This record gives sequence, structure tokens and C-alpha cells, in this order.
Amino acid sequence: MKVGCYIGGIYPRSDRLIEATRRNPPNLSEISRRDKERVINLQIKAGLTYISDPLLDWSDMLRPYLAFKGVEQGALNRIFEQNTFYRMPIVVDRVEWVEPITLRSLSIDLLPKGRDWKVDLPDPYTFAQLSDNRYYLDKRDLVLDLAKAMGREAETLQKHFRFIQINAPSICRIRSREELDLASEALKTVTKGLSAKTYLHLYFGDPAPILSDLLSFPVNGLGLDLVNVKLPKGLRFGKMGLAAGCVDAGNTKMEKPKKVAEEVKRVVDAIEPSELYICPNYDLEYVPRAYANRKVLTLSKIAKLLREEMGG
Amino acid sequence: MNKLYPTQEIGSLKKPEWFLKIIRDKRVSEEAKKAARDDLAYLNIRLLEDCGLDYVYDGEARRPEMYEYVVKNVGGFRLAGWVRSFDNRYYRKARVVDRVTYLGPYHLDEFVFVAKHARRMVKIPVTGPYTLADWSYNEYYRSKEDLVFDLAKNIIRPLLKDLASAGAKVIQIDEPAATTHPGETSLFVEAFNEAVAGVDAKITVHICYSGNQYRPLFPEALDMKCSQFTLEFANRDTTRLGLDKESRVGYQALNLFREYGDRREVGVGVVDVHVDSVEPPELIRDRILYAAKVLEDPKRVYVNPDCGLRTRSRSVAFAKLRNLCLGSELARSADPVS
Repeated sequence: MKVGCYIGGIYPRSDRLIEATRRNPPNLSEISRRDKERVINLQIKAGLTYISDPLLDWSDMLRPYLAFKGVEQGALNRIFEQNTFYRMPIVVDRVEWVEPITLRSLSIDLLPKGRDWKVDLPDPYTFAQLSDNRYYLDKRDLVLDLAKAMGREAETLQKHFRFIQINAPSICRIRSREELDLASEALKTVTKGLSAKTYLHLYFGDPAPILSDLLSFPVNGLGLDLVNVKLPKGLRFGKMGLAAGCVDAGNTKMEKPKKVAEEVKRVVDAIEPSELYICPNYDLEYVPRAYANRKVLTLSKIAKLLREEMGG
Repeated sequence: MNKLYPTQEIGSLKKPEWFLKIIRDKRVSEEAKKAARDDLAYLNIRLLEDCGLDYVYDGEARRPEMYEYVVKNVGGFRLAGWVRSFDNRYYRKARVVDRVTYLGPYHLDEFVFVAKHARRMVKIPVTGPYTLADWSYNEYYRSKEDLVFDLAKNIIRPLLKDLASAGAKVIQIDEPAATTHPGETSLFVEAFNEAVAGVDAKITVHICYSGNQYRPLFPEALDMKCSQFTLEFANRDTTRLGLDKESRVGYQALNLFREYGDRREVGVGVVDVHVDSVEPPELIRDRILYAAKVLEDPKRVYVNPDCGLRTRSRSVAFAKLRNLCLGSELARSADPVS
């Protein structure tokens, strides 16, 4: 089985960048780019399968998309059960895509030539759940308009990126057929016709009760938080790939690669995914930079052990 | 307090540049740094009183931050590094690497100083056990519960008792993490009650940025041994004048108190600490009157900012506090149920 590894979402800023952003010197963007280069070089050194922009200049995962027509910036709100906050999007008019947003919010010129690149996108259902809808009478219409807008984003991204991680924490909490169908329909709009590989990442909640339904979602794989979630017995992934979130982005305690590799192997043997990626359970920005760096190297070691074991 | 709509601050104020220069300068003696801390604390007390507040403290002049200061003064913690709160606001998060130990009453000296110099009522903010645990990386205790209770019984309770013995009459337990994990409200409440057990002072609790409109607090919060909930609301409100539900959309969580028959005081956040625009007194008045209407008793309403004002410049912070006091005066002269 093929075993890859990657990181996703927002990476922690270095102390230097935090301090520089506070002071806002004229060369701030240069300091930020140098910091990004360090994280990109770390990913290369660690041998990650896909290299991504660490999004050091993003304030939260939804912030760039406040530029969608019809969306404004709202109050600070807690990101699920984290002590980190995002600006809640306020939907004040029909949501429409106007121009590429993700692409202009990345530093793709820093990404290494000759390597495969990866990018993050918010899932439309999650975006709607985390927004304050003051326009649409029916949430379904909002989700589907967001899906169209995200679909346009995905289209522009696939020219550059081989892998799109779709972040969908709100889907973990769905417990009704109607909502599941809505989330799936929205994703279909985003992923339809894409050549890039798409993985739906589920974290900040327990998707176990709906996992069998998620196996038919229109993506190539599921990213699961194996640190906090126990998978139900009897599940078979079949054509679906697994991104095993087995490195804890919520704690500084360092994983023991051999022990984690054994645990992941047990999961893989049980659910038989089509392919396997090793990753953190969510964005590493929830631990300080030095610990995040060590965790990147740790996940690389876990992937190496699994490759040796599974021949990927 | 007999006065209607007493005003209070929540805690922190931004440290001025002159102060930070002294504190960060390695060439400056510890004696000179202590003098600078005393100067800033004294200045903050006077400024808060000049704004017209009824309850004051020192703007947390001696604390770098509500969490970091504590973990530096309690055994068992090691600072790990910066983690984002929001935007480019970061706090230094610690690892728990050993059993937590009480090294002494870490807020006592500052309290004694404030008590000596304040002319108004003093309310001291103390970071609570649940938040300290939730904001730390637990690498030592078998469970979060073990860590929270050890902090409650063996760190916070002795501290509160030491402060009460030194004359603290009003203690605000800061628990911004209280509603972070809706499934842990019982743990939060039990730990809170352990922390304040046997403490001879008025106990209030400050909770903010719930994200879930404080709903997870109830019904467990009914058992909390505190006389006041000091909460953030303005962040989610409109800036329109009015006492209607739509204008005061940010204050709907007050209905929880009515729904559960909780008749305790509520410290109502009436200014947003994350924007520079200064709320006019008329808007503050309407927010107060709306709270009085929902809580069905103006005597239960205390008036405060949503949270500490440390993220705002000092000029903005004091302008907001001045208007907060002016708005309270307007509310006092209005018919509370009109």
C-alpha cells in the first residue's frame, strides 16, 4: 500500500514573525516570506509527500474568503473547543465568487519545483455552519452557493496543486440524513471534474456515527483524528483513502513513532483503505513552533516505519 | 452596593511603552523595575477611578498576562511557547510536567498595594482552575480532571484564602474557558466550588467569548458558589439604539437566567474590547436597560466591559470606560422597564 505524509492548515508563526507582525516594520512581508521558506524547507527535509504553503499570514481558515461577494466580517468566535478565535463571516447578500482568493493568499513562488504541492480549502457546509446567515431564508441555498464559490476556487487551484485538503470539522457533528445529503451535494459541486486528489478532513468532533455514510462522499479520501476518535468496528474503506491524523496537534507531548505506527497499522488492517497518508489530526498552529517542527519530523518517521512494514 | 448599575472593570489594561522599556531593559535594576510596576499600578488605579468606576483594580499592571503570570508562579508548569488567541494575538502556553505545587500567594503583594491606594471598592481578578488546566498541555496527570482538581484544591483555594485573610472582599474568578467544552461543565462547576470552598469573600465569575451563548453553563451553573456572573455580550450586539430584541441581539443569552430561575447578579458586558470605535453613552444605556428588562430587576445588573481592555490602546480603553460610566448614569436616570 502506498504510504504518504503531509501537513495541513495553518502552521504556527515563529516568535520572530509574531514580534515583527506586532511592530509592523516596512520589511514585514520579507520576514514573513523567510519564515514560510523555513517551514517549506522543513517539509522537504522531512520528506513529506506533498508540500504546502504554511499559511503563516492567514488569521484563520475562513478569513480570506470574507472576500466572497455577499460576505462581511463579523465578531470573534471560538473555533470549536479551542482557545483560538476566528472572525465569523456574516452573510448579508447572495454569495458569489468574483475572482480567485486562495491563489492570491498563497506564496506559490516559494513552493519547490519538481515536488507535488498541496492546498487547503474550507468545506462549504462547514463555512455555512460557522457563519452568521442574515440573508438566505433556507440554509440549503447558502451551502450550495458557497459550494459554487468554493468550486470556482478549486478549479483555479488544480492547475497548481495535486492535492486539495477540504477542511470539514462541522460535518463531524451531522446526525441527520438531510444534512448529510446537503454536505455531500455541496462537496460534489466543489470536487466535480477536478484532476487534483481531494481529501475531506474531519476533526474537532466525532464522525464515528456517520462514517459509513461518509464513505460514499465525493472525495478520494477521509482525514480522521485518530488521537481522539475511536473508529467503529466492521468498517471497510474500499476505494476511499485514509489520512491518519495520528500526530496530536493539541498537545506538546511527543509521540513515540514506533508505538503510533503500530496503532495505525492496526487501523489500516481493520478498515483496509485504498491508500494511506500520515498527518497531524488538525492544524499544527495549536502547538508552539518548536513543537510543531518536531511533530513534522515525527510524522515523517511514522510514515517511514509504515512504509517499511507495509511496503508502500 | 446600594447604587443602581454599579460599574466595574474586568482586569487588564495595555501596558504603556515607557513601562515596557523599563521592564525589558536588562540594565535596569530589579528595584527600579519594582518602582515602575508600583507607578503603573498607582496610575491605573487613579485613571480607573477618574473614569468613574465603582470597582477598580490595577489593570493587572504586574501581570504580563492572566495565564502566563500564574504558571510562572506555580510549580509543575514549564512555558512551551506562543500559541494564537486570534489574529496576531498570542499567549504563552505552558506544559504541565510535574505535580502542581503552591509556591506562595502570588497575587498578595499587588492586592495589598491596590487596597492601600484605591479609594473605591477593590475587586481582584484571579484566574480559575479550569482555565489554567484547559489552556495548558497536560503531559503529567493521568486525566484533565485530576489536573483541574489539584489546581482547585491545592493552588487556587489557598490563594483565595490568603487574599481574603489580607482583606479581599470581592474576588473575581476568571474562567474564560468555562464553556469551551460543553461536555465538561460539571467538571468546571465542581472544580470552581472546590476552589472557593471556605473562602470568606464575595465571589464573582467572569466568562467570555463562549461562542455558544453560555448555554452549556446551565443547569449546572445553578450550583456554582458565586454571587455574580460577569459576561461578554457587546461583541455580538448591534450598534443600533433601542430596547427591542433585534437591536439587542447580543444580549439574548440573558434569557438563560430567566429560563432557569437564576436570580443572581449579572455583570453585563456593554463595550466591545476588540474594536477601537468607542460606544456612545446612549448605546451603553440601552444595553443596560435591556439587561434590566430581561433580568426583571435592575438591582441585579452590574456594568462592565466585555473583558479586559489590554488589546486596546490606553486612550481607547479609557474613553470606553468613561462612556461606560456615562451610559450607566443615563440608565440610572431612565425608567428601567420603559
